[in-house]
Amino acid sequence: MDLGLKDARCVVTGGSRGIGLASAEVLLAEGATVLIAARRRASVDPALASLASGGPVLGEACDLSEEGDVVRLISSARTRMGGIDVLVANAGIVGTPSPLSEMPTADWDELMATNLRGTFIACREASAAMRADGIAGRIVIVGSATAFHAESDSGHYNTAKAGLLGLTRSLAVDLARWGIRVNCVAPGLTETDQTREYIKAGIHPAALGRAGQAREIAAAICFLAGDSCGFVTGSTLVVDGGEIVKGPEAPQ
Amino acid sequence: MRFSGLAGIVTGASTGIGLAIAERLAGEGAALCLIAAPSDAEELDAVTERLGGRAFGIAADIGAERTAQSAISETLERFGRIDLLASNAGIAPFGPALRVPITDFDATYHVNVRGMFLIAQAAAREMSREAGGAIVCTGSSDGLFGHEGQVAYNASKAAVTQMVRSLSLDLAPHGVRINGVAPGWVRTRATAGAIEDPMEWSRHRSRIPMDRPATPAEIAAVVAFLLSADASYMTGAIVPCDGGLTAGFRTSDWDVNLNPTCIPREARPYAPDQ
Repeated sequence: MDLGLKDARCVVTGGSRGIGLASAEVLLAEGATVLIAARRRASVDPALASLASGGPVLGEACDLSEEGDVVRLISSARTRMGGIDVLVANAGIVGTPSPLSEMPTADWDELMATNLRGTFIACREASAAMRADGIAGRIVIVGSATAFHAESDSGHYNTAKAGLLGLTRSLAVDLARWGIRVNCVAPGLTETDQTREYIKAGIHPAALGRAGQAREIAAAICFLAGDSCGFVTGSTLVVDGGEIVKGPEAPQ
Repeated sequence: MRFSGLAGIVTGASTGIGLAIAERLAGEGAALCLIAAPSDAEELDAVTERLGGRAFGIAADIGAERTAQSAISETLERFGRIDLLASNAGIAPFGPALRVPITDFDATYHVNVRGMFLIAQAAAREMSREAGGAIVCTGSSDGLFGHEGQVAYNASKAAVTQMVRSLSLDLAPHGVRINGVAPGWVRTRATAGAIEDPMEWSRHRSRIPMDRPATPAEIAAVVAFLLSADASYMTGAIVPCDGGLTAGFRTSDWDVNLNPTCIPREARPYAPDQ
C-alpha cells in the first residue's frame, strides 16, 4: 500500500532491534530513507547490515539520556539526509523492576532520563529541524498499553509511558500550527528478543489470544508516519490485540 | 489493492464519510453492499452506478432487523462472502438538552446504536462462520467528550465507543476484529451549515489544533487502515481522526497560521495502489 512515505527522511530511535528495527524495515519498503539510532555502536552496525538490502539506511549511536547526544543525533540526521520528515521516537528501556514501595530513586531517574526526558528532547530537536526547513513533518511516539493499565513492579515504566501520552497530546497542539502531526502507538505485549521468554511462559493478555508481532506494531507506526492520514494528530493508536479493553479481570 | 477478492458492507454510504469509505474500499478492490436511508435512495443509486458492477445498494432503515438480514443474505448471494463491515450510518438531530424532543432522542438511538449493533451482529455471525473478518464503526469525538447542544448524539456515540470495546472481546475468539474511528469536524452535508457560516465556524475552528475540518476521504483512510491486514493486531481500539481536537485545545489564534514557510499539507487525493 502507499502510505505516502516515498523519499521521506526518517529517524528511528531504538532502531537496532524489536519494534524499531521492524519499523525501519517497513519504512524502507515504503521507499523512505532511514537513519536508525541505538545506544551502542555495536548494536547499530549489525542492524545496518540486516537493513542494507532494503534501501538507503544510515546509523548513529546515541544515548537518549544524554542531551548532547540527542542534539547531535538530530543535527547529524538533518545534515546527512538533507532534512527530517519523520521521527519515530521508539527508544526506551525497561529499567530495573521493583515494587514502587522499594524502588531506589536512581532506578526511577535512570528510566525517566531515557524514556520521558530523552523522548521529549528528541521530539523538540526534530520538530525544530522540521520548522527550520519548512517541513510539515510527522512524529510517532511509541508508548505502551501499560500507560492504560499498570503492570506490577514496573511503576517507573508505566508512569513514563503514561507521560508519553501527555507528551503526544501536548506536542500535537503545540506543533499543529506548523503542520507537524504528532501521534502515539501503544503496543500491548509484543514478541521481541526481550519478551520471548515471558511469552513462552504462556502469558497472553490479549483478546486475540496471542502476542503481537513487531511487524504489526510497525504497520501502525508507519501508517501514522505517512501522509495518508493527514487529519490524525494527538491520537494514540492502541495496538494490543484487545488487551486494555478487557479491564480488570481475574486471570483464567 | 488491499481488498481484492474481498466483499463488504458499508452503511450510510450515500453521502459524506460513508460515501468516501465506499469509494476507498471499492478503489482498493472490494465488492460492496451499500446501505443508505430510504430518503437517500436516489443518491445511493447514483453511487452504485458510479462504482460499477461490484457494488449494489439497499435503501432501508438500518434500525430495522430485516435490513441487516437482507443485507447479509444479498451480499452472500452476490459475492459469496463477507469480510468487511464499515458500520457508519448515523443521524444527528441537535438541540438544547432542556428542549430536545424524546422523538429525536429515540430516532438517534434507533439509527446510531440499534442500527450499528444489528448490522455488526449479523455481519460478525457470518464472518465467524468463515475465515473471520474486520469491522469498523464510526464513532465520534463526541463519544469521548461532552459537547453542548447535542446530548442525544453524544450519548449515542459514547454507546458506540463502548459497543466496540465490548464486541471486540466477544468477537476475538471468532477471528473478527472490531475497531472504531472517532472523527471530529468533517466537511459533509450535515456540517456544511456550521462550516460555511463564518461566525459559527470561527468558534469551532478555534478549538481545532489543525485549524480546519477533515475531508471525508481522510476519515476513510483511517477506516481502510483499520479494515486492512496492516491492522491485524488491532481490536477494541478507538482511533481519533480529529486534527487534534480531543488531544487538547489552543488558547489563541496563531500569528503563524499563514506562515508561508510551512503550510500544512492538505490531504493528498486518494490514488489506488498500482
